[in-house]
Amino acid sequence: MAKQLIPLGLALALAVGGFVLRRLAARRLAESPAPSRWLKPGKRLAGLAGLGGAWWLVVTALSLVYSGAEHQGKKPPPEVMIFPKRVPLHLFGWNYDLSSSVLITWGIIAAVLVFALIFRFSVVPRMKDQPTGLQLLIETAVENLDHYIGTKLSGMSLSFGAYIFSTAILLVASALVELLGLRAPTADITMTLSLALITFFLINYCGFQRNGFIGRIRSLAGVSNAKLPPDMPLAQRLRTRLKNVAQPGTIGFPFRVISDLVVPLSLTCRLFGNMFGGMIIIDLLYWALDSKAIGIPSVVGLYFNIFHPLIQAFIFITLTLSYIEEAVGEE
Amino acid sequence: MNPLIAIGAAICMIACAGAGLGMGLATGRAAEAVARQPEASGKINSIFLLGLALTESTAIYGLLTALIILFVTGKPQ
Repeated sequence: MAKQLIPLGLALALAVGGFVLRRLAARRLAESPAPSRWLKPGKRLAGLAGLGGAWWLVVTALSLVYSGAEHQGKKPPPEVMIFPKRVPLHLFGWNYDLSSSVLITWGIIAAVLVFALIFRFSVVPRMKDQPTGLQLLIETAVENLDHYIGTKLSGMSLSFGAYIFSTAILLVASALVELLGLRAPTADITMTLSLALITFFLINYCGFQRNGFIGRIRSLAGVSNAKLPPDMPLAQRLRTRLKNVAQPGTIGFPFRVISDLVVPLSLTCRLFGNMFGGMIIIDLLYWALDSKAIGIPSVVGLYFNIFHPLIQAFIFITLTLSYIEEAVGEE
Repeated sequence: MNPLIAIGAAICMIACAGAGLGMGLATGRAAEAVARQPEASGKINSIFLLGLALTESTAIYGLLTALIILFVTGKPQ
């Protein structure tokens, strides 16, 4: 027991000494008008030593408390599953075999719904002309989103805002679930595929609705969609149409069709790869650090669990809007 | 694990070299564009992020393939 207390004492001494030294250096820096060259890096070094000592202290203290639970010998690498676990359920006399990401997604939807209902019944009835607090937050968000969609698609902003906003909320919420120790539903290829398929149908629906069947084919073939004047004679009309078709850009038609068909695949793999990669990196970090996984994973998680999902949600939305913009075409 | 599996996964990660090169080029051009026309930085920024996402996806495909090779194909029986 006494032998185990030595590193604990050392860590305590390092932490306290580092912070005291840093304090002293800071005071001398503030007092003397012309401090020596070594004072500033010394202060930084002492601060780092104090931080490292504090970390070491926590690690040794925890390993003392949980000394029996530590792994003996080499730990096996973490099991990585491409598909999440199946959860057998027995409800109302029926047996279900659900993917765990479905259950987690239901939980997320319920949480978002409850938040939205609370928001609807507590904040919305008391809306003011001069927005404050939560009202200001939501008004700014909706205004910015509408403006952002308006720069991409003109004339369709109102109907798209709702879908885009809810997709963004779902993506961000399902990525942040990872902080609770659950597997993010977006790290499941079926979830990202379904989102990408919604985008794919939306793209084609908008393209066909705006341009009509022939217009969509024309815009895929890179042929001008401009309307001809109605009083043009038939021969000249035919000649103009033929001239439009007989352009070198028309050869790209099959390639444009293929690249349109590949859109859902690329959207799926991008989101899934990012989330899955982040999850594996965090898993491997926990495995490599083993009993020392204190503090460090949270710093790494700041990038992989918070910044990355936000960027990915933004990118998914931006790509959806860009593809729709491309399908609708310039008016 | 068969050493060939590890080599295959390593070859997949060569994709990251191309993606890094592309992202570096895009970032450099975006910086140039903002330096030339600072008032257009908002528009440049959104185009830049979009391009970065499209470029990054090649690296992500490589990473995904490598991970699948390592953890699915190379799973000890």
